Amino acid sequence: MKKITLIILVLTTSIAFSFENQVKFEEREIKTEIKSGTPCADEYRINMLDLQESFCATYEQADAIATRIFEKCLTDTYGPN
Amino acid sequence: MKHFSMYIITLLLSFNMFSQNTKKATYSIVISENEKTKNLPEHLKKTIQEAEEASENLLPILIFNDSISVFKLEENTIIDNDLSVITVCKCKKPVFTLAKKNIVLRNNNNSIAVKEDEFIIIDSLQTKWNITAETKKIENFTCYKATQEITIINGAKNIDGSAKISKKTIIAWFSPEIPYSFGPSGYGGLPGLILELQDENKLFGLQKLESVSANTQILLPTKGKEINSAEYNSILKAKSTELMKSKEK
Repeated sequence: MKKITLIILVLTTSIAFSFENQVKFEEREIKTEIKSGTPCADEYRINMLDLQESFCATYEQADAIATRIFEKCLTDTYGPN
Repeated sequence: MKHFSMYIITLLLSFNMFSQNTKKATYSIVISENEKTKNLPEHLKKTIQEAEEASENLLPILIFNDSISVFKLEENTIIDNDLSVITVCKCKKPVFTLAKKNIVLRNNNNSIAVKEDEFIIIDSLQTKWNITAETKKIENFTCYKATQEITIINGAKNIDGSAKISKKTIIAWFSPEIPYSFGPSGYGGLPGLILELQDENKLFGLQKLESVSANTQILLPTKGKEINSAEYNSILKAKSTELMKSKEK
C-alpha cells in the first residue's frame, strides 16, 4: 500500500514539474519569436501587437500601418529598390 | 393634417427629382484629438497623427444612383500620405455598396503579405441602426440622427487569454429628403443619404451635392478572389506570419 502511494506521489510530482517546464518553455518561445529575426520583421510584429492591443485597430488597419513602417525600415536599412 | 400632406408631397417631389439622375456628394474630413493613440509608442503615435493630419486635405466623393454607390477619391487626386487614404478615409480602393443586396465590396489594399487587388472583400452592409428623433439642418436638408455600435475583434487577447472585444459607436446624420441609402466609407442602409458621419475621431461632412451625367457608369471590380473580411484577415495573418518566419532564415 505504501509503495503504491509512493509511486503515485512520484508520478504526480514529475507531471507537475513537466507541466511547469512546458509553460516556461512556451513563454520563452514566444519571447524569442518576438525578439529574433531581422530588425524590420521584429518591428512589424511589435507594431502589429501595439496597434491591435492599444489602438484597437482592425487586423487589416494594423497591417496597413505596420506594412508602411516595415517598407520604410527596409528602405532605410538596404536603400531604395 | 395639412402639414403632413405637405411633408408627403415634398418627399415625393424630392424622390422624383433625385431618382432621375446619378448624383455626386463630396465630403470633407475633420479630425479631432485621438484618445486611442495615448498608450501607443511615440513612433506609432507620430505615424498615425501624420496620416490623420494629411487626411484633412482629402475630399472623397460618393457617386450614387438608385441601386449602387461608390465611395472613392477623385481621379488624379494628389496623395501626400498613402496611409491617410487607407486608414482614415478608407478610400484607397473604391468602396461599392449595392442597396438591394445589402452588401459592401472592395478590392484589398497592398500589404506586406498580400498583393494589391488579389481579393474582392465582400461584407454585409451594417444596418443595425438606432434611428432617433433628434434632427438638425445640414446644407438646408433636415437630417435625423442614427447610431450604431460596431464590435471589433482583431486578434488581441486579454490577460486571461480570451479574445479582446472592443466597441465603437458610429453616428450618422441622414436626410430622408435625399432618398438614397448610401453614405461615406461603406456605411448606409438608412432611409436617406448620410450627410454627416462620425466614426470615432473622424468626421465626414457633406460639402457639395450635385448631379452628374446620367451616362456615368459605376463599374464593379472584376479582379480578385471573392472573400469576406473575416476570411481576408485570417489569410493576412497566416501569410504575414509565414513571411516573417521565412525572412528570418
